[in-house]
Amino acid sequence: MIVKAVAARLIRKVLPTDPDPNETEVALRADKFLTDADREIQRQFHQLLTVFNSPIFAFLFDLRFSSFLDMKPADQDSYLRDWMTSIIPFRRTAFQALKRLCMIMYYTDDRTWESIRYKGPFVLAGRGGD
Amino acid sequence: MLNHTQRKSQNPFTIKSLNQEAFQSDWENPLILQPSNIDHDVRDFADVCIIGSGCGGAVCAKEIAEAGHKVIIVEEGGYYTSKDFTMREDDAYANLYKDRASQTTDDLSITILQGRCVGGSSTVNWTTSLRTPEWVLAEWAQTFGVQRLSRSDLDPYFEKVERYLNIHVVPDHDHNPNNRIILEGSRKLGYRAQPTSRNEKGCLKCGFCGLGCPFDVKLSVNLTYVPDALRHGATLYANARAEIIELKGKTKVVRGSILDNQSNRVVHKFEITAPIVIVAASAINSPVLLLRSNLANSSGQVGKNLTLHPSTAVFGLFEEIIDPAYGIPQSAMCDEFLNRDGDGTGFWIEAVPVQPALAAISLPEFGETHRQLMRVFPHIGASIILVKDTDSEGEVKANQHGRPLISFNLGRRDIETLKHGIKVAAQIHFAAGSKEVTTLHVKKTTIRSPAEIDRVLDGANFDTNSIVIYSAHPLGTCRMGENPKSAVVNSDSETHDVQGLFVCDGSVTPTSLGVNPQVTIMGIATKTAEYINKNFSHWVR
Repeated sequence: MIVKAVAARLIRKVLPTDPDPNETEVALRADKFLTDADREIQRQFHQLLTVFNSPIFAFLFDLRFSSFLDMKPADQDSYLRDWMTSIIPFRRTAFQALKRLCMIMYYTDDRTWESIRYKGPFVLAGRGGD
Repeated sequence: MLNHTQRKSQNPFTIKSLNQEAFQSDWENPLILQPSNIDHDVRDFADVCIIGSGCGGAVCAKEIAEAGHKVIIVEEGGYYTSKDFTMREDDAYANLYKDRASQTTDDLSITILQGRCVGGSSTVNWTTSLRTPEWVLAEWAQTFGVQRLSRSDLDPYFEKVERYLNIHVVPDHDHNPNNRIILEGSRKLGYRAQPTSRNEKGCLKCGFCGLGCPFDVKLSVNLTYVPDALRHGATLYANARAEIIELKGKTKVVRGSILDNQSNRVVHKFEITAPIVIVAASAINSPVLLLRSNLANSSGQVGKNLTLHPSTAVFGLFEEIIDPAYGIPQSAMCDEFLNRDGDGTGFWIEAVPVQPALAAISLPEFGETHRQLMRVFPHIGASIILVKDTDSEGEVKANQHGRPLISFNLGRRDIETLKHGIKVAAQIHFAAGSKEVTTLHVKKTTIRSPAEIDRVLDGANFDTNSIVIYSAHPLGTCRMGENPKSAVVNSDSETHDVQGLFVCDGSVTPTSLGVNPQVTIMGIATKTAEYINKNFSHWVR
């Protein structure tokens, strides 16, 4: 739920043809990635999400009164930016972890490649392929 | 004649290899044992047990097996061939890289890319093959008392490796636009730049070396040294994680687990007994294995002195199509600023191939700004700046679960060198025609003209996780030297503490190299194997 909401703000559709992170199942694939990961990494990521979405920490860090999931989209963007540029190293680290996870899941899906004009793997002409 | 295709979860190639002279990776070899053909716990015996099948381990395996000794290699990663190399980041990161290419320092500030498969990092590197600079080897001798490892001592071993792997300088007509940025920009500015040397034969210049060569033309050790070792009787256990080395008199017992290839779940245990053990599991994993085994650490230096050759990048935006994902990934370098003042410091600039996910995690910002940066993907030229570590401090420890815990603090001097390197790389991009240059700062930092370079970068933040930093060259964690109080291994790569226990990978370099390390590791491994073969009876009676 949290990863899905974060992905929706980190990865924005600018053109109508840009694939939506929901279409590419970023959160679902992130979940699978974490399920396959080391238990220690799973535990740390769970902690990270708990702190990130906690209204208490949102208040302590940024004087905001709601969890990330309850914020309006513009506030979510502002909250993410606060984490990205925070003077507290842990928050910058956490932002990078979320960004890396979502971006890898999104841009390894070949449905996203056309939007950035990436041509993908190639074959030798006349030797098979699509 | 190349065209492109997009296909999900399927290798698009219908041909195996265009280079019939190159080693074929799909040959059946019963001596590569994988979980699928092991149905019980394993007990085995060898003259030499080698832990790791990368540049150090594979070279030792071939040289020692060729001399007629019984060699067993254990490799934590899986055995993959060109059939598995789909040129897709998701497949490659999951199958071929340590921690699915997500291995980082403990604060997530530096991503450390390493291979985790048969062939180790050589299976996924970009083929840059350079000898150790003479002045680096001189520093090892002067500061650490390393003996018989001068450039003239090592050159015959480098030559042997270069002949075997067909290492040669990239011809002028083979550079892709991304590499030409470095050559042309440097030339205009009067900086020294030159082509790199590569280990390949019949390269098709597809650009996917980093995801495993799908054509079997990159002469990585999984296609060269490993098959040759097996032809000479060596046995390789894939998906076999060494967990501890125990001493029984002069004999060593390597114990570990056979892992399921997909889930990494333990399916069997193994135990290999040998009088000689070579630890070649990389500068991250070798020290952790020694620490877990409580061996070879009377100096207290195991895991210390980690150097990362930290690197960041600049992305230049060009009017023309650069297509940084295609062509020879790394064929040019600007070496003007490495050891420029003769003080052993500096940086090095190389091209970097860019695939979508790598670009996405590296580019700044998020949301619409990030999308706009991704949208110009084909027009991006990318260069990396690699800093030769001087005052950074790094260490690898074993965490409570016995896994590597990597800490690394960039020193002030190294940060200044990194900043200088970014400035020079930006100059080079502008000189080559870039309209603007973006750094990897998490907050978008764009330079729109050469006149802005100093102002923008002098005001930029270089704190932890304020700029994206990578490493593909971890070294130094079991350093070499003749003083047992300050070094883990002697000049022959044998541990000072335990006879017949060798370390032979990037761990042994006493300092950062300043250049890509695979030829250094292979050259030292060739020399180490020769030493073992010559003195074999000393350990094996």
